[in-house]
Amino acid sequence: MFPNAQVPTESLPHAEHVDWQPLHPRFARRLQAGVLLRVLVFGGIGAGLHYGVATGGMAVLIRAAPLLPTVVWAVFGVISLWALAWPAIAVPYRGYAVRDRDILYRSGVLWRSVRAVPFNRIQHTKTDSTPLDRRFGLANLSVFPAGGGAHKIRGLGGETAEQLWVFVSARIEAEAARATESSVREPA
Amino acid sequence: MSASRPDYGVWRRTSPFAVVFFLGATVRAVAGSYIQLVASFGAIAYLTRFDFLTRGSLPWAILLAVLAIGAGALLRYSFFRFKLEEDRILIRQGFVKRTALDVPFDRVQGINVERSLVDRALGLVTVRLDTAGTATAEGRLPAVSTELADWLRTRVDRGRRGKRVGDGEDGLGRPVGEADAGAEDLAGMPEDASAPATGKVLVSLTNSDMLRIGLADRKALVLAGALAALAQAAEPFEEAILGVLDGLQTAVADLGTFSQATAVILVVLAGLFLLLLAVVIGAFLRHHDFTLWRQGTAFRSRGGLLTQKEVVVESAKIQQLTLSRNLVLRWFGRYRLEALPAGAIPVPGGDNTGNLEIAENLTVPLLDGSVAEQMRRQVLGTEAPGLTLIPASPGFMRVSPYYIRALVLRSVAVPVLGGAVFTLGQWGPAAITSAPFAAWCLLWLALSGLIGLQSWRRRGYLHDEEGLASRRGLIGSRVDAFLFRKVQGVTVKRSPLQRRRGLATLEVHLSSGVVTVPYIARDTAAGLRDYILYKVESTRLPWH
Repeated sequence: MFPNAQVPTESLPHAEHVDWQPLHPRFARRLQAGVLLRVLVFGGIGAGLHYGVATGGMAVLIRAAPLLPTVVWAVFGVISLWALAWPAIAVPYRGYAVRDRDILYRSGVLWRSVRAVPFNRIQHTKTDSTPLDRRFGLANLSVFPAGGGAHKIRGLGGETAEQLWVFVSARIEAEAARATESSVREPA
Repeated sequence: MSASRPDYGVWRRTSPFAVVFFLGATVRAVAGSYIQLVASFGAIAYLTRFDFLTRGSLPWAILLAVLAIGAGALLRYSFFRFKLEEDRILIRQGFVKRTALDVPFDRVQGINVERSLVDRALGLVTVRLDTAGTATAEGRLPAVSTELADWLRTRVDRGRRGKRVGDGEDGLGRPVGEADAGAEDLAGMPEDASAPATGKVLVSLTNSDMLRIGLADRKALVLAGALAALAQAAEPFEEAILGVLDGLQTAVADLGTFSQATAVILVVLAGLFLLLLAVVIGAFLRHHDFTLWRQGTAFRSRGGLLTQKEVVVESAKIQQLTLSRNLVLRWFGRYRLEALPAGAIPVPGGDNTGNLEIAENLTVPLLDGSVAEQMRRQVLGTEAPGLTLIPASPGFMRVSPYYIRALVLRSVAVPVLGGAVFTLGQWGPAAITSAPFAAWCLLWLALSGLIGLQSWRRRGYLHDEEGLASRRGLIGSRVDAFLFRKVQGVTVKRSPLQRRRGLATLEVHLSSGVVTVPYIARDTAAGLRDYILYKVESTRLPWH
């Protein structure tokens, strides 16, 4: 026989009531820097095109639709401003929490989601950082459960990411050891 | 043991007939990657009026291509080696990019066997090792002897069984004693290890079933749509078709006068008939003589007319059971069942899950509800007896009616906004308030209202203490069932509408995919999430 005590479902730990850890304060600025770079690149390409069309053989296009460049530039400007402002709005809604048996990640301003991945289902974990991340002293942590779909926490402080990586790796190993141990003990 | 033990530690080749297999593989690879290139060249040649035929280069080009493919196949055969060891199999292949594959037997999820017509004539088989997690290269042994395939199967079975007994349960969560009985069962296997033992056959399909599968094939609907579109496009050719019919008419003068309409109907009917014939033949090719049976702790299926395919899935490896039916299957009172094993398991060192070998799904193309329930009991039953796969089961709970509103909003937004933009551009701002635009909006509203209502009626979920079943559908229906302890992660999502109404969507991530339960009470979703996490984190049973 094996013990099978009833679990009072109300007493289960609630994944909602945890101490959410915010992402690194510089993360919003790092995202904005990324957006800015992209805006500059696309803006440059756009300006080049604009110049080429206006001075080249395509000037007839501009004469046919004189408002077109203004509209395109206005739309581009609005989208760029919005993309630059968005990280400052969205980043405070993101956060993570590490519990004894799982890791939680929340995100979303309008569509909010909380994802939980138990340690004993994580196959492996890794940290990475792009040059831009490193410029801001940030790193990302990814955990990989089975079935694809890496679960990535972006915008951790470099040191935090490293500590978390060590902690999660240790937890994965501990869970694996627990599973083997119990499978050895179980038949008795 | 029926199969004699092959030599260990020797690099071996497969039978020379494997060249046929490599030829097929090479042709498929070439067709996959170069067909577009060839098509573009063809188009360019056509546009530039470059005449291959008169210049005589086309036959040479074809000859060269055939020779190259043949040489490629020969090279691939001559570079293919495999070696058996006590606990693993090693495969070396490739001549440009050499790959070495090392597959420990206990990592093998299942051994699937294919017999092409050539294989069957020569008593050979092509073995595929399902190794979710190990591979970037394919674990395939083409054209090996049936004895070797049997031996491999027994060996892998034994390794797995040994492991399971150590785990304290066999794949079905049965006590160890029963698993031992299963092992004896294996030892006393009949000479032909691939033959289903009598009394354990779950599904066996007849020729009339092939007809049903063909008719229920989704491709039949798609093809019918394509045919309708083709009929539209064929208008320029109508004259030609009518001309042919005219010819027929004069040839068989006794039939009287064809009217144009009759001619068109005849052509369409003939098209439909050919189409049906094609899908039914397709069903015969894929599923002829389909049999599903239990062997020890595994489910095995075999079917196919020319190329016979065998799929073996350990029941412990099954992550999810999916029972579905479309309109046609509903009419026949039958279902289609899929047992999904663990999909791609990521390996350390690579974050790209795209190139992992996906284990084969066990698909039963046609079965009764009772058989599906029997299979469900065998896979999930002892742990989660409260689940069901039958969509009509009264146990399913409805989701919140606000689900309808969300669906309507989602499906109405794009056509209405698109219509508005189009109307504005075409007729100016005044047209936005006109009757045609209002009618357009109302039409979409009514249509998506109906779709939303029907989708909501089909949505449902039910769970017991160990597992959950989720139902969905619009015209057809589909039920996904799984055990909590096999879950890989849980997400609770809340849209602005859901937050206002105290609702949430539960997403359960399995290694075979995601199962969603939308628009349930927020407390229910959070409670289920916490309970599933508790179940996963406290279980001692392996998930695969």
